[in-house]
Amino acid sequence: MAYRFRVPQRGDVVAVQLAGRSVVYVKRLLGLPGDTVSFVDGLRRNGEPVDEPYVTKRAGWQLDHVTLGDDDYFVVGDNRGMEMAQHEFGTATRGRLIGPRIF
Amino acid sequence: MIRNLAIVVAVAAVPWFGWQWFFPSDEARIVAVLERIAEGVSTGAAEGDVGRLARAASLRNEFAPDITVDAGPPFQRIRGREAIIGAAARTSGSVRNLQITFPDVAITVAPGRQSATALVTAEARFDDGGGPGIDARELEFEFTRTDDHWVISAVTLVQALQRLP
Repeated sequence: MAYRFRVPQRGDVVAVQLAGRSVVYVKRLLGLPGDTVSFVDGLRRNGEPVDEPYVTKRAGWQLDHVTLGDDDYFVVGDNRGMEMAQHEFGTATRGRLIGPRIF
Repeated sequence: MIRNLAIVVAVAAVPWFGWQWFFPSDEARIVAVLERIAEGVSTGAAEGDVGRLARAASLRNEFAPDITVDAGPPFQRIRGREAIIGAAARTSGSVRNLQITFPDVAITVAPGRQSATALVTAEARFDDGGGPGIDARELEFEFTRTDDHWVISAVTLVQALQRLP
């Protein structure tokens, strides 16, 4: 609901609609449309390393840089201690972003 | 005055409900197919194999012969009506008290009204011996009209997140 009143911002913890109105993922919004993202010793956005103090465990994720499309919002969980293939992350469309966590 | 108005509304509503009953809309008929699927796959804790298999077989007319179902892990992609019925029977037989519901349904009937899609939340509540569980996922059902009967021609998992290449 909150995104009816403001636009999504990088760093938001967002609910991503998985199925219906009540089944959601909770992820961190790390890239907006047009951003280039990659994982090389941590997250890089538009070529710059991103400081992520909320990530306490990191496996060595490697992802070549990808430029996000016009309706691609890059979301990743904060728990990154597992292999990259074991973590549910990727892009979601704007219509699936319900809004940031309020409390 | 209010009583008379209520009588007029009630009298006017009778033909409308009658029309809907005898000539349901395509959307209503598609919802009815989904309800029969949910009922046919669901199974109670005390139900025997015969009843379960009979209900699964009763779904035959709801599927196109060349139907494909890709509902995502842990299910494998299935093709063909007979394979679907077999899989439905096995799934409902492997868990106790499986209850399938489709709480959110959004139907789009194509121009010409010969095909339609239904975006559906599929919710399964079950007990597989390890305690109660719940699974919810978004599925797209494709429907085709055959002999004035809507049948399911494909079921595909809708991915909420697209993995990056």
